[in-house]
Amino acid sequence: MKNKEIKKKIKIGSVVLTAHQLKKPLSSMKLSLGMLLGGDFGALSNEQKDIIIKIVEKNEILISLVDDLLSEAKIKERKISNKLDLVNIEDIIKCLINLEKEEIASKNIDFKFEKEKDLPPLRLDKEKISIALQNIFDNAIKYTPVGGKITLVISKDKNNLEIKISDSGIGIPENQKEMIFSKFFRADNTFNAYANGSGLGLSIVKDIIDAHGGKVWLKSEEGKGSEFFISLPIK
Amino acid sequence: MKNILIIEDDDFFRELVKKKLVSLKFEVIEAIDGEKGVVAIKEKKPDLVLLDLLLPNVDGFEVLSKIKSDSNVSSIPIIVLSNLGQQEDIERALKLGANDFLIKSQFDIDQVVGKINNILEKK
Repeated sequence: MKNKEIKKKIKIGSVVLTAHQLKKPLSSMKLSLGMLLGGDFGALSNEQKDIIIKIVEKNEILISLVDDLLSEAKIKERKISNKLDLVNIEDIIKCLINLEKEEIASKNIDFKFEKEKDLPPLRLDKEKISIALQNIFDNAIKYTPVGGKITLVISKDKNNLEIKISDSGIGIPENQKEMIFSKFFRADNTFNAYANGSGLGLSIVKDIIDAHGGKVWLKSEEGKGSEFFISLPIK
Repeated sequence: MKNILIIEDDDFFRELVKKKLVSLKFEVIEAIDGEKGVVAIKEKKPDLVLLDLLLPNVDGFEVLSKIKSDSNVSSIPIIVLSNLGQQEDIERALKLGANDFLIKSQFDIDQVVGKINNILEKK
């Protein structure tokens, strides 16, 4: 599909367009590498497998970077309109859980979702809030080891609705907590083993929550897990 | 033998999926844009369709609208395989009648095969 056609179809700017064009070959590479490893093109030696696994990891970093750039570019585009709808946050979260259920099951994660009764609808940009929640939820899944635990709780007080996402993942070192919401920041320990990421995700989350007059913060202990809190005003 | 139609403009991606499905004894039909895809669905009546969204001529959303509003072919299951992965894209495709939605950069070929088998078993 030509650039002009894509632009017309999904009404996007040049950064988003470039990101979409980058994703196309990256997705094909991911699929083909997976098939190579799976033996669809014949048996591989252990050395060949090791090399392909390294290419898969590099490819995942690129996919993750492009996804984050895509999210950020879309958010910037949306800032102009700032369209707010009356939204039930529970519906967004249920949709998110449904999207991630296979990933949760594949890692055998003990997942729990709890909520208070009669949560009020909030005036939100539904897509932005979905992106913010998805970023935190994705991180929880990404950094939680197989057989770990994730809990998502929605509660409310007089003025705010609070969403808490707790995981039993690698946690965040004490001296890096303040920087975690900065652009391109990744905690030292995330480079070690678990997952790829560009370091854009949580800065996007903060931008979105700030734009809604809310707050995002965390409690974390390295090696024991993290608790991310999002508070949104009930107006 | 079950027929699967792949509507996908990326030749490499289409060939990869085709190779896997043929190795599993599916019969594979191919369409390289939405317009040809709609014609193929109506003429060949495949058992299942794998549909990209960003397609030349007629995009995947339009394909879904055309197929799901035509009672002759509306029951044919459609799995969307797309690089679009925003929640609004997923919701829109599912509302238009897609049976499932997989984001291209997140799945492996066995997940696609698993979805196909699940849907065909329920038919």
